[in-house]
Amino acid sequence: MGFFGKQQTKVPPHPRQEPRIDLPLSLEGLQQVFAGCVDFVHRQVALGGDESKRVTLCYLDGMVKMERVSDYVLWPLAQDTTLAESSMAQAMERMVAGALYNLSVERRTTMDQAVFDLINGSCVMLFPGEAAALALGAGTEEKRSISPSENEPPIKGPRDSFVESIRTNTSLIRRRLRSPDLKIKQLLVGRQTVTPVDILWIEGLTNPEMVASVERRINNIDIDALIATGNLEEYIIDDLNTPFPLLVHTERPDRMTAGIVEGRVGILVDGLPLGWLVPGTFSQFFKAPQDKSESWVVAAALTVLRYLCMLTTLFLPALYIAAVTFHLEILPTKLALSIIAAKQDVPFTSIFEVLILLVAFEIIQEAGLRLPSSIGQTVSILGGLVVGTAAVEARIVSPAILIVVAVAGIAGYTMPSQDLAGALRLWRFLLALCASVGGLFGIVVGSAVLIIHLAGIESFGVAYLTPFAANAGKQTEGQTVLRRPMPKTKLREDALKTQNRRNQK
Amino acid sequence: MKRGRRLLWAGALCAALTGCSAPAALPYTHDIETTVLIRTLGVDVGTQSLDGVGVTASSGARPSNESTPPQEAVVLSAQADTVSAARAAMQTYGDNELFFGTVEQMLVGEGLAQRGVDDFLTLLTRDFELRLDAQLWVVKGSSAADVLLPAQEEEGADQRLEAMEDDIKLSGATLPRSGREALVDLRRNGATFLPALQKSPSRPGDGGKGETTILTAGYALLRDGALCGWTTLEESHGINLLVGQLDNEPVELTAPDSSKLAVSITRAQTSYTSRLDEDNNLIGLRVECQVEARVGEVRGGGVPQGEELDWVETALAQRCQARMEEALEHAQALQTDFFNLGRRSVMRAPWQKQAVERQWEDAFSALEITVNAEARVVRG
Repeated sequence: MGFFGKQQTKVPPHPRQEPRIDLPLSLEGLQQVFAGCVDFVHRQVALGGDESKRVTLCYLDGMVKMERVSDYVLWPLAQDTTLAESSMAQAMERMVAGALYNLSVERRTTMDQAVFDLINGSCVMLFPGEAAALALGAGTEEKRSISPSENEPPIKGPRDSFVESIRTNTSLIRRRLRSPDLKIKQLLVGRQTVTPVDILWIEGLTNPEMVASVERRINNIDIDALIATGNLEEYIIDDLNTPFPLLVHTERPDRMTAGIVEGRVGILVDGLPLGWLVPGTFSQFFKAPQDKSESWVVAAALTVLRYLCMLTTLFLPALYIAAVTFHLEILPTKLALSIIAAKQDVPFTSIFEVLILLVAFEIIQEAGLRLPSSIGQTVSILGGLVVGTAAVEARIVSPAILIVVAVAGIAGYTMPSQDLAGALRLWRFLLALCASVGGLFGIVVGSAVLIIHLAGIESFGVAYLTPFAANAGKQTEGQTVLRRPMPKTKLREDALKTQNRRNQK
Repeated sequence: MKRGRRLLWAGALCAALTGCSAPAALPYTHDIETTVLIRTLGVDVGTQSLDGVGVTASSGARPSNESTPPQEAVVLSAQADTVSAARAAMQTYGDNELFFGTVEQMLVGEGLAQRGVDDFLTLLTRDFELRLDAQLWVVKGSSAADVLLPAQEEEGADQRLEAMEDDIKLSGATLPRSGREALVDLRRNGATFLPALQKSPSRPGDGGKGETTILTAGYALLRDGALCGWTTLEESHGINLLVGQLDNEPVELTAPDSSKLAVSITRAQTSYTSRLDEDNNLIGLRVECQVEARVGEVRGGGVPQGEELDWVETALAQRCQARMEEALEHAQALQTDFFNLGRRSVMRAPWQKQAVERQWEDAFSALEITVNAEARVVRG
C-alpha cells in the first residue's frame, strides 16, 4: 500500500448461474424461492366444483389485476364442469386451447420461467402430478399517463412523450412507424432487476452490422441492476474516458421514430421514460426536435447560432483571461480602459476571479437543479442577481468578469443536449486553466487537445466528428450539420451505411 | 502504466514546488488593474547626449468607475540612447506597469525628424508592443515633449490630441497617416509625407481649453527618412488630391455676384500618365483629376443653377488644379517625388515600367508636369 502502487487484492469471480433456480417446478419449489415474501400467494381451486380435482394458483399480490384473475381464470375454472371430467393433463390442454379467457396462456416447464412469469405479473397454475405449469397473464397496467416532454418541450409537434412502461413506449413508436419492417427485439439486462431492453430498427434499411453490434454490446452487459441511464450507456459506448455524449437520448417518440427512419438503431429500457439513438455523432447534439417543424432557413440559422454559442461557452472565459492577462494589445483601447476602470479596488487577479465565478456559477446551477422548481428559481435569483450584484457593489468581483461568465453560461444553455452542455462546461474550465498558464498559446494547445480527443472518439463505428472529419469529402447530403430543404435532401447520411440511402422519390 | 503516470505527476509537482517557472516561450502576464495604457508616445532628440533620444509617454484621460475618484493622466518622460531603453527606464518610475501596446498616436519632434525617423520606424516593425498602424505626426517648430508634458497640468493638450484623432477625418487639410504607410513609402520610394502638428496659443474657435492648443499644420516632407520641408495649407490640399484622398474641408468660392459658396468635394479620382518620346526618354507627366462635389452653403445668393453652376464647376476645377500644381512645384523644387507619382503612373502603363523607373529620379525635378482638373457638381 503506497503512493506509487497499491497492493493488488483479488476480486472474487462473479459467475452467472444457469439455470438460475435449480429446483423442480412445484408448489414446494415456489414456496422455497419466495420464502419470506409476504406478497407471494397461492390457493387451491377445484376444477368444475369437483373437490377431488384441485389445482394450485400462485401469484404475487400487487403484480396481478385481481379482477382479471377472478373473471378470466377463477370463474371459468369453477363453471366449466368438463374440466373436472378430464385428467389433469387433458385439463391443461383444454385450458391452453381456450377454456380460460386469458389472452395469454403459456406452458412452463422450468422453475426459472415460472418465477419470472410471477414477477412479471402472471398467475402460475400448478397441476398435481404434472411437471409443467401454466402461466396466465393477468398483470396490472399501472403506469403514468402519457404527457408532454418537460425536457424537450414541443413547440409545433406532437405532445406525447415516453413513459416508464416499455410496451407503451414501443406502441408509441409503432403507431408512428406502421411499417411491418420495424423490428423490436427484447433482451434482458441485470441479474437482479432483469430489465427488458428493446432494440428497434427497420429491417432492410438499417445497417445490420450496427444492429448486431448494439445487440452484442447489450447482451454483454452483466450487471446486477439496470436502473439508471448510465447502467446502459457506459456499458455500450466505445469510449468511457470522455465527457462528451456518444448516444443521443430523447423523450419524444417522434424524434425517436425519425432517427430510426434515418437508419439509426433505437434502444428502449423498461422503467426509463426515454430512448436512445445510435450512433451519436457530434453534429447530432446540435439538432433540436423542432428543427424539422420550422422553415429550413430558420432552422439552419438557429443551428449556426448554436455552433456559435458552443464556441462562446467554450472559449469566452479563456479568451477573456488571455486578453486581460497576457495579450492586452488584442483589446480595443476603449474596452481595455473600461475593464481597467471596472477592476479598480477589486482585490483578486482576473484569473482567480474567472475561475471562482465559473465555480460559483456551477454551484448555483447545481443547487437550483436539486431543489423543487419553485425553490430552485428562488435560489437562482438569489444566487445570480442578489449575490452577483452585491459582489460587484462590494468590489469583490468586477462587472466585466461577471458579464463574461454569465454570457458563457447562458450560451451553454442553448445546447439542445444537456449532456453536451455538461461536457462543454468541463472543457470550459480546462481551457480557462490553459489560458491562465499560456494565454492564447495555452488556448491553442487546449483546443488542439480537445480536437485530438474528439477526433479519436467513435460511436458504434462512426467517427464522432462526422462529417467534419473522416468523411473523405463525400458527405454532401443528409442534413448532417445544417437543415436543408427536405425535398432536396434525398439521401440518408452516408456515415450510417444504411442499406438504402435514398429516402424519397 | 499507472505508476509511470503518478511519477510524472509527482515530478511536475516537485518542479512547481521548487520554483521552476513556466518556460520563457510563454507570454508574460499583466496585472490589468495596475496597468497604465499608454495612448500617445512622443519621440525627440535627447538633450543629455548627442545622439540620444527623449521619449515622452502619455496615458490620456483615464476613466474611473462610479465609486472611485477619477484618475489623473500619466505623463512620463525619459532619455536614453534608444527608445527601448527610455521606455524601460519609465517602467521604474512607479508601481504601475506601462503598456505601450495601446499607443495610437506617435509624435516625432522636429529635431528628431530632421535627424531621421528610419530607426524609429524600424523599431515599430520589431517591437512586439508598439503598433505599426499607430498614427504618426511630426511636431512643427517644437518637440513632442512640449506637446505632451503639459497634458498633466493643462487639461487641454492631451484631450485635444484625442479629439483630433477622432475628428481629423471630418475636417482639415491634414489627413492622418500610419507608421506602416510611412515605412512602406520610405522603403519603396525613399521619401514620404507625414501630417504635422503645431502648438499654438489658444484662440477662441480653436477648440482648445488651455492656454495653448494643438493644430494641424499641413504635411512634413521627408526624404531618406529625414525632414526636408513643410507644406502650406493649399499644398496640403493639393497632396490630398494627388493621392486621391478626400480631406472634407469645403472649398470656399466667391461668385461674380459676390455671393459666397462652400463646395464640398465628395469624390476625387486622379490618374497619371508618363509621357515618353520615341526613344523612350521620359519627357513629361500628365495628371488628370476628376472631382465630384456638392454645394453645401450659399451666402448672399441663391442655389447656383445653369450658367452659375457651370461657373462653380470651372472655378472649382481651377482651384483644384492650382492646389495640385503648387504641391508638385514644391516637390520638384525639393527634387524629390514624395507622392510616389512615378510608381502610380506605371500602374496604368506597366510596359513603361522599366523606362520610367530608370529615369524617374533624375528627371523628376525638371519634368514637364501637366495638370488637368475637371469638376462636376452633382447636387446644386
